[in-house]
Amino acid sequence: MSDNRASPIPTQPPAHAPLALVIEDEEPIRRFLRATLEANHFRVKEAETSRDGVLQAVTVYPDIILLDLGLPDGDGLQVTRTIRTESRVPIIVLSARGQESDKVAALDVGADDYLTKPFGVGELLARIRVALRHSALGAASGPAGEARPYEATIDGRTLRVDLASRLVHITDGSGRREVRLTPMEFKLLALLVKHAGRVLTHAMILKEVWGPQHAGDVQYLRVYAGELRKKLESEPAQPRFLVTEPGVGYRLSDPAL
Amino acid sequence: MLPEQPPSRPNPDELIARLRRTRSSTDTANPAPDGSAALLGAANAGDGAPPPGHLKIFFGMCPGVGKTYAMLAAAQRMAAQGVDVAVGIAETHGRTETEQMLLGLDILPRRRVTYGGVELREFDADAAIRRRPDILLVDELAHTNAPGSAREKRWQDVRECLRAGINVYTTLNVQHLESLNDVVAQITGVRVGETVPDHVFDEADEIELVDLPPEALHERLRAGKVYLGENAARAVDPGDGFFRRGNLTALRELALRRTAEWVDSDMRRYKQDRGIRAVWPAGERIVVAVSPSPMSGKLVRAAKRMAAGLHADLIAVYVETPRTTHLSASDRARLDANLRLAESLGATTATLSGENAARQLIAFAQARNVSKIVVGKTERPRWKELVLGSFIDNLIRESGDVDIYVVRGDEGPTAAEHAFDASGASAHRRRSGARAAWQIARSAVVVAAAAGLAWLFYHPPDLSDESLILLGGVVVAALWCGRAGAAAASVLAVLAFNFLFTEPRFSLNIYDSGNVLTFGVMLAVGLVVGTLAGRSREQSQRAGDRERATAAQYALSRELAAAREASEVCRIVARHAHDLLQADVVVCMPVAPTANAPGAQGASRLDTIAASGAPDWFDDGAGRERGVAQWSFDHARPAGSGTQKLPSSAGRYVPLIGAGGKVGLIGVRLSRGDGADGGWSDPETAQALEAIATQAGSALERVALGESHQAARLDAERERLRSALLSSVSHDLRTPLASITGAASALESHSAGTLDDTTRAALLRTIVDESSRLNDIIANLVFATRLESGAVALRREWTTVEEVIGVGLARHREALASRPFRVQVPPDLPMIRVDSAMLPQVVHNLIENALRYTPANTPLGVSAWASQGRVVVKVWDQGPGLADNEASKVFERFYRGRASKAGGAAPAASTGMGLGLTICEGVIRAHGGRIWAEPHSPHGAAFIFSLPVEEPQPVLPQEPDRAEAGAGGAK
Repeated sequence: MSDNRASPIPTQPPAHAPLALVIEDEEPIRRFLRATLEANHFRVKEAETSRDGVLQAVTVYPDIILLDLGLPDGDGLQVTRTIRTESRVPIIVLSARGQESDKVAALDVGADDYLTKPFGVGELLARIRVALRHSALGAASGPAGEARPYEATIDGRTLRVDLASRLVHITDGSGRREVRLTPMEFKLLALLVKHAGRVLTHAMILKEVWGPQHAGDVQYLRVYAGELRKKLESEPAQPRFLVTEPGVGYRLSDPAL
Repeated sequence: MLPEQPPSRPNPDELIARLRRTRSSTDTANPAPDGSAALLGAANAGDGAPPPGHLKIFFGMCPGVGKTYAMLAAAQRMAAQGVDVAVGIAETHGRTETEQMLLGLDILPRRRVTYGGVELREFDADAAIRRRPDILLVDELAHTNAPGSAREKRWQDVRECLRAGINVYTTLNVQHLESLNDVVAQITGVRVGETVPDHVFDEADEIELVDLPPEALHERLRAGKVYLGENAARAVDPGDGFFRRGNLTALRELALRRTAEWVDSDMRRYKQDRGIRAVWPAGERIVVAVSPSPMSGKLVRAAKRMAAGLHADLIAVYVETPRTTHLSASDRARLDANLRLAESLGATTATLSGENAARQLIAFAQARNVSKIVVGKTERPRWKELVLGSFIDNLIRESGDVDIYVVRGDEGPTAAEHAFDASGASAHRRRSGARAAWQIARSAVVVAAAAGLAWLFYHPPDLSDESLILLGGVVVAALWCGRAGAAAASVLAVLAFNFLFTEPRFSLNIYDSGNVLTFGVMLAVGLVVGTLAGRSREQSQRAGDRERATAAQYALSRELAAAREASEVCRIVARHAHDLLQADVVVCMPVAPTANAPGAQGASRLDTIAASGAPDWFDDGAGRERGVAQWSFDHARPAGSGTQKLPSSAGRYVPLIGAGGKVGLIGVRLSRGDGADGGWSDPETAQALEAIATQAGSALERVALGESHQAARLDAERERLRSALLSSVSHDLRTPLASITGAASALESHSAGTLDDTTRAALLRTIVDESSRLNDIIANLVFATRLESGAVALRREWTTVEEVIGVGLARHREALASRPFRVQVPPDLPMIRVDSAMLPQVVHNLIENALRYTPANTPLGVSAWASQGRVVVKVWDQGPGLADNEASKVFERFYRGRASKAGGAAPAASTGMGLGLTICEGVIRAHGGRIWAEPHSPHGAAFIFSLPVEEPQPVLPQEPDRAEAGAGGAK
C-alpha cells in the first residue's frame, strides 16, 4: 500500500546498518516492528518461534533482539537464558502481560530492558538506542564507559554527574549549584548513571549498592531514592530524573531524550 | 475422527470430592480420642483406636461354683505362656484356694472411693487402660460401682477396657442377667438388684460355663469353701436357704440354657458373617405396651424373652391418653424406669399420644410392621371394665392381623420397687401432708367466717338460712382451699352447725333426729360440692400451668422465627431455656474442623455460641463437661446428668437435631441441681428441655437453609452484575473501535494524497488516542475482574507514600501540566507496606476521575499526612463537587457521574467504564484500608483513602559516615 507513496526513507537499508532480530509470533506486530525499524535504518530478521529465534540469535549475529515473552511454543525466559549463554547481544523484552513479575524475571536472567504492549514508536526507539549504546560502551571497554559525564536536561533543569570527579551539579532557573551526597547516595546514583536510560530491578540495585545479602531490602532503596530525589528533583513527588518503574525498579532518564 | 469421551464416564474431580465427603462423614462418626479420653474412652472408638478387645465370661449358676477360680486358673495358664495378665479386680472372699491362684499375677491397685464415710475400693478402669495388659481380669461383672464413679456399673468399666483394645476375663452369675432377673426371683424368692444387660452377655466373644452339680456345691458349702464362718452355716442350711436343692437345679438349668442360646446365636452370627442366608423370617417386631404400673417391668422382661426367642426386635411403647397426661411424680418415675429397663434390654422406645390407647397402639404396630403386641393383664375390677370399657378388649377388637399376647402381671410391686416407692412416696407424702394441713387451716378460717355470718342471721327454729350460709362457706372453702380443704370444711360446717345452732346449742349432742338428716345432707352436699369445686380449681390451675408453658414455648418459637442468624438463635434459646428451666445454659454449634488441628480427624468440634446463667461451669478447665457434650453430639443422644450416659456430669446435654441431622447442642445445669440426679427427677423438666431442643434444632436448620438461600441470591446478583458488565463492556469497547476503524479506513481510501495534512494528522491522532483509551478500558476491566474474583494476590513491600503518589501521577503529567496542581507530602511520613504496583493505580484513578469530572483549569491537588497510626492520602479538586447522594454511590460498579464536565482534559473524558473508583475501593480494601468521598472546602470534591501503618517500621540502613560526600573528597 505504501509502494507508491513518496518516502524519504530508503526501502532497503544498507548492509552495514545494524541488524535487529524480531522474535514474535503475532504477524501484525512483526509487520509494525519491521516497518518502524526499517524506516529507522535497521536491517530486520524475523523469527516466529522460540526455536527459530534462538537459532537465528546465534547464527545471524543480530545487534539487538526484540523478544516477545508470550511465545506460544516456549518460555520467553528460557529463550533469554539460552541466548545469554552464547551472546551478550542486547535483548529487549516485549510483554503483553503487564505483569511486573514476568518483566523482573526476564530482566534478572539477562534481558536489558522491557516494553509493555501496547507501546509507541518513540518509546521503542528510545529503548533500542539506549540498549545499543550500552552494548557499544561495554564492547569498547568497561572502565572507559565512565569517562563521559552524564548530563540530562528536562523541563529546563539540568543534572550533571561526573563519575570521575565525583561531582554532581544541578542547573536550573536560579543557576548552577553543586549537590552534596552521602557516600551511599552517590554509590546509588553512580550505578544508575552507568546504566542511564535502562531499567534496573530492585534486586540488581540492592546487590550492587548494598551487597547480595540485602537483595530483599527494598526499603533501603526506597529511602535512598527518596533522599536522592529531594536533592535532585524540583518536585520529588513528580520525579523527572529518577523515575520509578512500578513493581520493577528504577530508571535514570536517558540523557539523549 | 476422534472418539468423544463417553458421556457416562464420571468426572474424576467429582469422584475425589465424593470420596472426601464419604471419608469425612465416617470421620465424624468416629471421632478420635481427645483430652478427656479417660472419661470418654467409651465414646471414642474411632479410626485411630485399636480393635476392640475380646470378652470372655466365666458364667455360673450361682456363687460358689468356682468362676473366679476358673478365671484365675485360665489366667495362670496364659501367664505361663508369657501373656501379660493383670488383675483389675478379683474377689477371693477369703477363700484360700482362690487366693493361691493369684500368686504371681500382677494385681492392679484399686481406686479408693469414700462414700458416706466408708472407704470403698473399686476397680480402676482408667488405670487398667493406661496399664494396657494383654488380658485383664475383672471379677463380678454385675457389680454396681460406688456413687460418684465415672460409670455406674462395672460392665460399663469393662466395656471401656474392651474398647481400649484390652482383652477381658470376667465372671457372671445367671441371676444377674437382666432378662432372667424375674425368673430367678420367682424361683428363689430372692431378687438381686445388680443386673447386666443381656446384650453384654450376647456380645461376649467367649462364654465358659462353670458348672457344678448341686450335690458337689453342697459339699463345698459344707466344707466351708464358699462362705466362711457364720455365713457358711446359714448358707448350707438345705431347708429354705438360697442354696436349697430345688433352687440350684433350676438355676443350673437356666445357666445351661442361656449358654446354649448364646452358642446358638454365636452360630447364627457365624452364619451371618459368612453370608449364609438366615432361615428365620427377618424383620419381626414385637411391641410391648408399657405403663407406670410396677408390673410393667416384668412385662418388659417377658417380652424381651419372647423377642429373643423369635429373634425379633422389641419396641417398648407408652401411650399417653388425656386421662394419663397428669401422672403423679412417682408414676412418672416408674414409667421412666420401665422405659429405661426396656432400653437396657435392647428395646427401642416410643411414646405415643392419642384419645384411644388401643387404637394408637394398633396404628403404630401396623405402621411399623409389628406382628405381635404384648400387654399386661388388667388389674381393674370387673365392674370398672363394664363401665369404662376394657383396654385389652378394645385392643383385641382393633388388632386386625396383629397378634395380641396378654401376660400375667405380678402379685404386686417387687421388693426393689417397693423400696423405690417408699422413698419416693414418703417425700411426696410429706410434701402433700404439709400442703393439706395448710388447706385445712384455711378452710377452718372460712367456715368460722361463715358461722359468724350465720350467727348474725340466727332465727330459730327455722335453721335453713344458717345451713345455707354454712354450705356457702363450704363452697368458698372448696374453691379456695383445694380438695382437702373442701372435705375439712364440710365436716367443720356440720360440726359448727350442730354446735352453734341446733338444740342443745353449744353442745355436740343431737336431740332432734331430723337434724341428723340435715347433718347428713349437709355433709354429703358439702363433700360433693367441695370435691367438684376443688377439682375444677385444680383443673383450671393445671390449665393455667399448661397455658404458661405453652405461652413460653410460643414466645420462644416466635422469637426464633424472627431470628436470622445461627448465633441469634443460640442466644434466644439460651435465654429462654434459662428462664424456663431455672438453669445455667450453654448452646453450642459444631465448627468445621480445621485442617491443621492435630488429632481432630474431621470430627466437628463444638463451639460455645451462647450461654446464660452462671459462667464457667461448662468450661471448667478439665474439659470434662465439654467432653460429655461432645459425646452427646457425636452420638446424637442425650447424655450427662439424669441420663444413663455419664450421669455424674454437672449438666445434661441434648443434641439439637434438624430434619437434615444434628445442628447443635444444648447443655443445661439446673440451678436446683442437688441430689444424685442433678434435679432431673421431675419429668416435666426433661420434657421442657426436649421441647426446647426440638424447636432450637429446627430453628437452626431453618437459619442454615436461609443462609444457603441468601448465598443463592447473592449468586444471582453476581450473575446479574456480570451480564450488566458484559453489555457495558461491549458498548464501551465498540465505541473506540468504531473511531479507529473509521479513521483508518478513511486514511486507506484517501491514500492517494487527496487528504490535506491537517486532516490526516487529525485522523492519525484519533487512532492513537482511541487505541490508548481502549487499552485503558481493557486494563481496568481485567484488573477489576481479578480484584473481584479474589485472584489478586498482594505483593506487599515497604515503600514510601511519596513514591506511590509519584507513580500515580506519572501518566497524568501532560494533563496536569495545564492545571493549577499542588502536591503536599511531608518528608517524615512513616513507610507503608503495600503492593507497590497496585496502590499507585488508586492515585492514578482518583486523579483521572478528578480530571474527568471537573472543568479545565480547575485546581487539583494531592496531599498526605499521618494520623493515629494511619497514613491518609487525599485527592481533591475545586470543581462542582458531588451531589448529596453521590458520596456513597461513586464506588459502586458502573456508577457514572451525572454528567461529564465538558472540556475534561483526560483523553477518555467523555465516557468511561465507571470502574475506576470501584478499582480504588477494591485495592484499598484489599490493603485493609478505607476509602471515602467527601466535599472539599470551600467547594469541590475530595477522595480520601487511609491505610494502616504497620509496626515495627523497617530498619533503615545505617550509614556510619553520614557526612556529605562532596567534591570527590570522601573517597
